[in-house]
Amino acid sequence: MLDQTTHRPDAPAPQAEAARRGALPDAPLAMPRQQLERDLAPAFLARLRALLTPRLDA
Amino acid sequence: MTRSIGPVTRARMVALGASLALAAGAFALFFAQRQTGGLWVELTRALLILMATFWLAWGAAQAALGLWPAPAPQPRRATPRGRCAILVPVHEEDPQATFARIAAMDAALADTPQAGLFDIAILSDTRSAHGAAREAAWYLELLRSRDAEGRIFYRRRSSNAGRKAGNIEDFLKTSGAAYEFALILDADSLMAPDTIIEMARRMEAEPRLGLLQSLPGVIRASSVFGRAMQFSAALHSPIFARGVARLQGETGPFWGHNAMVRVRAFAESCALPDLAGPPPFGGHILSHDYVEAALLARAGWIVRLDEDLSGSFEEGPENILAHAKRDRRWCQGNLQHARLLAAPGLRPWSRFVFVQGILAYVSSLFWLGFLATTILAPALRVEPDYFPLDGWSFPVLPPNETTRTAGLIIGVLGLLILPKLMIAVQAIRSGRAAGFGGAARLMGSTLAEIALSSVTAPIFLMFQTRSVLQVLSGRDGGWPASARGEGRLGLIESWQASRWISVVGLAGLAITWRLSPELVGWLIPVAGPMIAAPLVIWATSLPSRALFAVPSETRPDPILARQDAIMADWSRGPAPGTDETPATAAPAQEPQHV
Repeated sequence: MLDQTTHRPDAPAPQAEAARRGALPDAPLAMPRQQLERDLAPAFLARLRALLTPRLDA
Repeated sequence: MTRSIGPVTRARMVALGASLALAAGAFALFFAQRQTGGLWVELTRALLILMATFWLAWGAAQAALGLWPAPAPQPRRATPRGRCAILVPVHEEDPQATFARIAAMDAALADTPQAGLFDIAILSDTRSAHGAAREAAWYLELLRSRDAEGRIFYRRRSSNAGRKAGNIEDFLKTSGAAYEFALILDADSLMAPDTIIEMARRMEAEPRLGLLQSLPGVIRASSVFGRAMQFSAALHSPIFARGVARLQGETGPFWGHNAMVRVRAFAESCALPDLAGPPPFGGHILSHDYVEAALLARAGWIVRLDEDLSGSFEEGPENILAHAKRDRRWCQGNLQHARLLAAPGLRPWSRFVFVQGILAYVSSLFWLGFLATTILAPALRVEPDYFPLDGWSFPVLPPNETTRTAGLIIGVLGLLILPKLMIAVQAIRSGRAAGFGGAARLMGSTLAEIALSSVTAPIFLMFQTRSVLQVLSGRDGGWPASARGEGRLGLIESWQASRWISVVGLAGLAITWRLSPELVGWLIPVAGPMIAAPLVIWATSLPSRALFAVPSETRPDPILARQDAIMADWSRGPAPGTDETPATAAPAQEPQHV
């Protein structure tokens, strides 16, 4: 999880001042998480099931 | 019907074809049916040399492609209008030096008509209380000296999830909608304002361009090793980069910094997932830049390296240990890409780039395996059959081991040295040599760099081999702070970090002496530097100005002088928030355990 904390009440004075005066612009943008790993197991299991089901039913 | 082959495909075919042909030649040199070491030993050895030679030849092919003249630079069609955030992720850096670079870039941009388009965001992942306090104090000093409130931002995350990639993602999620472009820098990056504006112009001119990578030159090196790297980066890298640019098409590289991205494209395409399982192969994606480039290309955006962009700088490691430490991180990141080779939807070239990155490190195992089998082959010797063919009355002599070794060394040196010499000759012919102190100094520096890299290559071979084996055995390298600044090492420190290399070199030489005494002479160029590794590491970390002049010294960009002036100004008087001078307030340099 990304924790965006710029104002910390317990921070020493210069750090609190830096956080206050350096605050980023408030202009959020969505970033959808990308899929990178090809999970072969579900596809393989589905294919195996399709192959076996008629025989199991028979 | 005939289909014309585009220039990128043609370049790829030429480079791949030449590399495969040379690799096949090396294979043929070391493999024949009747050999001294027996079929399996010979086959193993020939396959190892095939892989290792392919990697060397691939590098040489890129240099050869880069030696062709470049096409004319693009016309400047567009005026930058989109707002751009200059992002400076920091993690346990020296804030005085880092913020002086920021102040220099801010001041230089302020002198241009496009000044209002650029903001700067310092994105801190610093965890130590001391580091955070220094950053805050120096940030307030930066704001004061540049009158930059509302233009230079600073935020420190309380959790550095996702490391650098997560840091940038966090910024985009918070503030990305305010900007059209983002220039991603490293803490040691420095860029001239004209370069930054030209990059924005090129982004405006090509709406499909998702990422534009510049070629950073190394600056401010002071040690023998650092200056040799700096020289090599200035002389060789533009040629190699032009070769890469010829091969890349629209699937170019991202090196993590000194690159401009289109914020919308990056946000839509580049939120990286954690990989299943623990590090080093699972968890956070360490070498995120290669993956982000692949994801942008997957989404249909152009990723491009424009090697003609000057005025882009970074600092490099100043000694072999700092280099090896950085290399350990890169090694883990590149090997982790093995998990992504089958990622859905990637362009074939992106997958090939991952393979290249993996080969860059695994090739050290091929070389070491080849050396080991060559030394051990006589112990596994089979009696040669001089009359292998029925009815053939002339003897068939087994190949001479020394001849083959000599052939290999000539081939390897040709692939490593010839491109460097050709680049030097081209620099002299094109007038580029003037920036390197003239033709004579350029040639002297080239020969010195070749000599130095020949001595350091076996040492890096050992460090890389150790890194690969550590990663393969499941050891995570973590996220150490970058070692920057003066890199002078003590002899004891060098000895402690590299005595194991000396032991391996001595053992290799002793075994060769016992099993294949005729190869001892050929092994000396490899084993000698390994045995002397502590001395080499120590000596190359010493300061030197004798050789390796580069354009950033002979014709420095004004941005360097601006940074120098700011550093000098900030070094007078006590550091902000302390009673100490900045030099004494800086944290002690981290020990360089590698």
